[in-house]
Amino acid sequence: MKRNHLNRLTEIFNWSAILMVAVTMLLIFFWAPTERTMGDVQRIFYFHVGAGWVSMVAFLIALVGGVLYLRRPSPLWDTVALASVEIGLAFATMNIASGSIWGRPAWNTWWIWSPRLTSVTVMWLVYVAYFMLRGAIEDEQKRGRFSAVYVIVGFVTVLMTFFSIRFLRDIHPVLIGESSEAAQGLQEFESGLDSARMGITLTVTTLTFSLLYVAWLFNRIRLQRMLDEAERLKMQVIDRLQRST
Amino acid sequence: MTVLAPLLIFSILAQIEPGDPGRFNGYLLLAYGVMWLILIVYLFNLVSKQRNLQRDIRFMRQLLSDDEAEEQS
Repeated sequence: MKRNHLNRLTEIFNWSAILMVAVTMLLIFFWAPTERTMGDVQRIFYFHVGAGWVSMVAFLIALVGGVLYLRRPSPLWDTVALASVEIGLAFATMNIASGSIWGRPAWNTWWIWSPRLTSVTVMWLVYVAYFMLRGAIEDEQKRGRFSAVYVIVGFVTVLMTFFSIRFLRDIHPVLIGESSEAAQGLQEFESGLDSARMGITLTVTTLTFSLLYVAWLFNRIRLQRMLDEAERLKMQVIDRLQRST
Repeated sequence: MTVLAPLLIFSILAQIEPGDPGRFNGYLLLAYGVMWLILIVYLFNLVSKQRNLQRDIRFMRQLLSDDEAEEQS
């Protein structure tokens, strides 16, 4: 992709994401219905679920980037995987932090080592360790190869997180599908119309976060190109200095 | 006034009834505050890295073009 093309696309995504975030905030606080039992605090749900969903999608794209890198080693796929893990981790942190805060009024505790909360912590730590792995390997090709294998294997933790509440008894409710009997914090609304409004707000939030992910991905690719250019110029400067001395 | 402020806050909190939909609004504000902070920190990190790189690239290009001009003269 040409630099001007990339810059233009990045700008379009940046401005679209800003606009959509503003619309989403308005929907969450002024249009979405108030839940019957928990009240207004249930509005955490929209960012909590949206962030969780986009983090998992980002880790899936990191896996795709890893597979494509192993098939044909290109710095672009390595950058896509790296950027996706970075952004996915930001969204996963939002998801975990908001879940913990919401847990206090909903479950009367900030944290509980239930299957979902344990698996999401493992997932978060596995993806944090990805950066340690990258930092420990100097050779670019070796780093790309090892990182690609790591994101592919690391995706197991995403699957574990997704299926933990579906296969194991958990206090965390299931959004799509049947919850365990132990689940608490299920949502009830006054009417079917309210439920529809909740669904629309959640869909818009998820789409907005997806757009934000794409915008950040483009920004991160642009940043990587700048890093590569800075590295190339640095080598030229060093070469000139060596010739002049 | 400073003595009255806690009393005022207490009287507002005391008026919140168990069924009030806004009784957990403190947690709502805290959650959104934390989430926005994470978003802003990541964004700030991206922007500052980009600015530093732009400055470095400009500087190195200038250095190379000065060197080339010196060689030609």
